[in-house]
Amino acid sequence: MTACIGEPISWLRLERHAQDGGVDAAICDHLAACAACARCLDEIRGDLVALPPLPAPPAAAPARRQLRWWLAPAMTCAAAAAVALVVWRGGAPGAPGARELPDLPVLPEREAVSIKGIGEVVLGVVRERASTVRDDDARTYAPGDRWKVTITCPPATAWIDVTVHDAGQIDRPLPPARVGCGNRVALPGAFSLSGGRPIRVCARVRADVPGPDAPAAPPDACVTLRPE
Amino acid sequence: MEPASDPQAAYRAYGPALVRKAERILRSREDAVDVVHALFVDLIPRWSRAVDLPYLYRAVTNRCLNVVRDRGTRARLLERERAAAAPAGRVRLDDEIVGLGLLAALAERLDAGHLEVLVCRFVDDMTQEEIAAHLSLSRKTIGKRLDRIREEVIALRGAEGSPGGPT
Repeated sequence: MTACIGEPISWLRLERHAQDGGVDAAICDHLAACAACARCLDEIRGDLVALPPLPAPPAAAPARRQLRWWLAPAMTCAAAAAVALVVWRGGAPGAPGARELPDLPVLPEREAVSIKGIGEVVLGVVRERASTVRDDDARTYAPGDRWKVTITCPPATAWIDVTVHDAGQIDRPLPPARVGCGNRVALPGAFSLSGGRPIRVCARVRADVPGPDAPAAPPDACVTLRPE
Repeated sequence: MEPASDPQAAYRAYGPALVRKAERILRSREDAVDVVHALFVDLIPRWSRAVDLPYLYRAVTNRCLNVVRDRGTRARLLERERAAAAPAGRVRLDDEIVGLGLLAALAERLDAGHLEVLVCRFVDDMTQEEIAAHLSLSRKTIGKRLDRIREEVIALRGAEGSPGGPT
């Protein structure tokens, strides 16, 4: 890295600058002249952090006591409505929710696979949209979204090859990578999706780089992302 | 920048910045995520509207320093740091990037107040004025603490170079 031309812009100021959309003229002037600090800002803007979800805040105790008399029947009604909705959507063949990805290859939809030499491997995706990062439950895409792939596996080293399946075509947006296992380890690189069709993101995981005499491919872990 | 209205909103808005900060200290993304997640879990029951990014920055510094002070965790992080890429290091302490090893060694010699200034200056790359405002201390106090930090680094290097000193 080249040195800063003067006094560096602190990381805290750079983070705020990135969040504010760059309104501080003094910082803008410095960044225009200083490659070192500009690179740090690029680092911030290009970084995608996969955060585990927070637990829900506990409800206030007095309010819970006041609501208790009607809470039980209300929850029963909500459960019944949810069951009715599932039955209705499943029973209507023409309903959009019942349609099954006809343009995708038939692959097992498993986000977790068990790999010899590693153990259970869970695939995850992280979506960044307009600087908001969402993980775990993000399963829809729109133009401009950026995606990262995460892997959760027991302590080991894993070789991972990510494929994107779109209407029979298979792309490899990320280079195959060897990663140290852990909790939601993000693979290097990110990609975006387009096409307006459901797209399946899969990861083939092995304990080591496959050689020419490698045994048959293990099953892929996959998630399906749908257009909005 | 407005303070976030609730922990979930703050987590979404500031979480990535805090993870990057923690990672600069701990040199491990996974441990950085753990520190930030644990911080917000602890903050949920006692959330205040006054919580903003600078406040959370200080909280993350303190938590990371606690991690570095823990000898068991420190050994694991130091092992990992050897495999990690070198940090950018725009502000150096006597031409040296303050990495985990130096931070861990200084954690044995300095109190929490000095360590916080050390992180602000040599990890977060703050100016002395910025540190003074950030920690609500006078510029003079920051200067004194930085002098003391430099003295300890010189003493540390001297001890490493001496025959009976640590290697």
